[in-house]
Amino acid sequence: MTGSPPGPTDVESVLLSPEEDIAAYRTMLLIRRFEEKAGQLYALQAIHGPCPLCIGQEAAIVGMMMEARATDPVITGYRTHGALLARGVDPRRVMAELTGRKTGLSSGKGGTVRMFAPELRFYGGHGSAGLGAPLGAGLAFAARYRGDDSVTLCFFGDGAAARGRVLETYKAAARWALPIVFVVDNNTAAPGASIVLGSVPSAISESGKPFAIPGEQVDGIDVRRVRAAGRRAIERARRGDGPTVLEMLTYRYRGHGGIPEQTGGGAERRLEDADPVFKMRARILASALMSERELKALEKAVRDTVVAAAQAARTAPAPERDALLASLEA
Amino acid sequence: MRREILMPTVTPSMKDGKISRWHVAEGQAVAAGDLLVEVATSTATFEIEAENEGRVERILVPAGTEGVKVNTPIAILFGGGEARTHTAALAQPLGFASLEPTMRRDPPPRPQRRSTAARVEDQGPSYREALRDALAAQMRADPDVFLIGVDVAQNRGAPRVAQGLLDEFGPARVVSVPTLDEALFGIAVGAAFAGLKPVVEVPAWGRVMEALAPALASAAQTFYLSNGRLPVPIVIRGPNGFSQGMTGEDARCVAATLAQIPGLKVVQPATASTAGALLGAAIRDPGPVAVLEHEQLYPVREAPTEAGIGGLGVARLARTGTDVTIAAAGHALTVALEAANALSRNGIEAEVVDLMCLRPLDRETVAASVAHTGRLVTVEDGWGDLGIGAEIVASVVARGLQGLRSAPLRIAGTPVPMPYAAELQALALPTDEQVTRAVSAMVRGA
Repeated sequence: MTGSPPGPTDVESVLLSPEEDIAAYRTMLLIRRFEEKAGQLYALQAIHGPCPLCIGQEAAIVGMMMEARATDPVITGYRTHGALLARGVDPRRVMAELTGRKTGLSSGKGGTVRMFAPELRFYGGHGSAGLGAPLGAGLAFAARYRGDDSVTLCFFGDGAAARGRVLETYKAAARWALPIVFVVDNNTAAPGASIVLGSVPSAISESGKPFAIPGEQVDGIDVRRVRAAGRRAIERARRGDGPTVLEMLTYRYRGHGGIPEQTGGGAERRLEDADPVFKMRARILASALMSERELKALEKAVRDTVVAAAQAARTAPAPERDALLASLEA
Repeated sequence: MRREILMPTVTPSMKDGKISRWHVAEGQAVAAGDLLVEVATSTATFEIEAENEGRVERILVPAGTEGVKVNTPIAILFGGGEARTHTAALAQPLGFASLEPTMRRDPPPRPQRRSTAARVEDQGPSYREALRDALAAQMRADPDVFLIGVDVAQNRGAPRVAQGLLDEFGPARVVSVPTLDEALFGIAVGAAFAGLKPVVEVPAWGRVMEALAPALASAAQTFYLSNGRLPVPIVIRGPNGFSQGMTGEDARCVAATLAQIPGLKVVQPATASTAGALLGAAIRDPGPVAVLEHEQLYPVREAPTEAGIGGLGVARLARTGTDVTIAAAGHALTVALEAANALSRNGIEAEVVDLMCLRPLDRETVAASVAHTGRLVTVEDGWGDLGIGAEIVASVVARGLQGLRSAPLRIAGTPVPMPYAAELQALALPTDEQVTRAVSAMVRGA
């Protein structure tokens, strides 16, 4: 299955119920609106640190998270917001962390990267590129050690995928057949690069090959294709057959870290075909799952949630002075 | 072929020692790894193993002889093994007998080797055995504790602390890996995220710092940056600093470097009786702990004492005295104690503080001792610039200069990468003579 683009049977194998389609759309839209709002707060300097957004990558995140169980550990690189929201963390706590408020998920100590929700089996946010891979393999190691059947989802980007520590992790994960799925978000971020989905020349899905880890290139714009690939990889890991590398072909619309970057004229262009959220909305409408009016109501509810989170994140108090020394040692 | 076994050096500064016991008799055949002889210095006892097989032809220096000069022939072995040429120029003996950590040819496992039960009662376990026993006790008490490291299973790892653990706990809890790269340190930290309690054995602290750095940063900072949501209960342990013939980062002492990291605890055991308690406390600690062991301390036996440890971050008085306080940890503590014994013969009584833990650092115990003696000397094996001694001196003088009878003094490793030649290695580390001279000058006001 390595390298071949997923065919129609893969999509049909995921029997999405209408409820699941709507849930996928709601979560993807929540991430989209949240990130747009975070981008605004960044521009207003209400967010004073880096703020890597995952606009364009919603389907790759949501599709994988829908296939995981609530007890499956999740770990990410520095791009955390989408996975946090998809895991069910309160958007108010995430936004308040971005603005460095006391009410933030890490009480204003962590910022965009260092957010953790171990009670939801979300293990952060790790800044050093590719470090999430071995840490994630450690979560999978713990599952193996304890004999539970959880599968770790480990998200990182195409840049991190080239780090030696990631390849070292593949080696160890293959040796121990660890229950983990490496989800590499290839957002083809080179400025000005054009994208033709399904035919991006890339070796990422093949990068596990020297360690006999299978890989797939996945259309990361289509949540159903993501789910199909995710289901195969997660089931494989749960069976005890070891890790898989899933290369999600996505498109990043916004500059890195919320910082506008120089573009060659294509990176900011919104391609409707390559927009997972628009695509999902169109599908729901076409299949008459929801009417335009019902969709608008859902969208308003999502927008209200995000607006309220942003409002609260701007007005919440700063951490108190004694927070500086609190929780240094367990 | 006939060869002499020479009196070994146990520390670079050692000039002579006592043959306290022969484990072999004349005419007896020995295999590589067999215990040959027990050598004692004023502060410690060491077991010396045979490096190769052969037959003991003659014992030249009987048990009980004191003041046996280093490099003096103490026995003659016949036959076996490859020829090895000795030259008088070598400062370190390279005969059949050598300190066991020096020669890394692991002999076949020999579980009954230390069968002299009476001996153990006399002297107590070695530093190595105390660490192993503490590790085994924690593994028995808590199924989440596991050991991971290079060759920790069959070969029991380079420091050979893991002896017997594979048999008792099996390969799932004694996890052997071919190398400790960035990924394996990350995997251990990730396992700790999930609530397991990994004990990672490193072959040499200085050597692994580069591969360890990313995961160590994560281990040390995550509890704080998550505002207490995610503890990281990991122990990383192994030999730190000088090891005979090792150079550069392989022999680097990382104590001061690690002790600067908030969120990390750093333990540096000096004796067999404290090593086990400190490792046990480190494994039970809910946060990350670095345990800095020492190659030359592993074989040292010590009479068991009732004295426990006061927990991580509490120092102890290894010796009481009235004239000067010497503060040290790990191997440097044995240097301080040897110096204190020499000083005592000249009428100077040094109080020796075993810091045991460098972070948190027990500044109060040092300050209380200095309040009593009026003088402070620090000893550390690592580079002294911006080091442990600097921190201790600063904390003492910050409390006021009134009680001080002399300016405090730091004695530390020479700030150079560890060179190779034995003569240069001896110069690069603090010696008991150096400490003795410095303290004498300080107390006599010279």
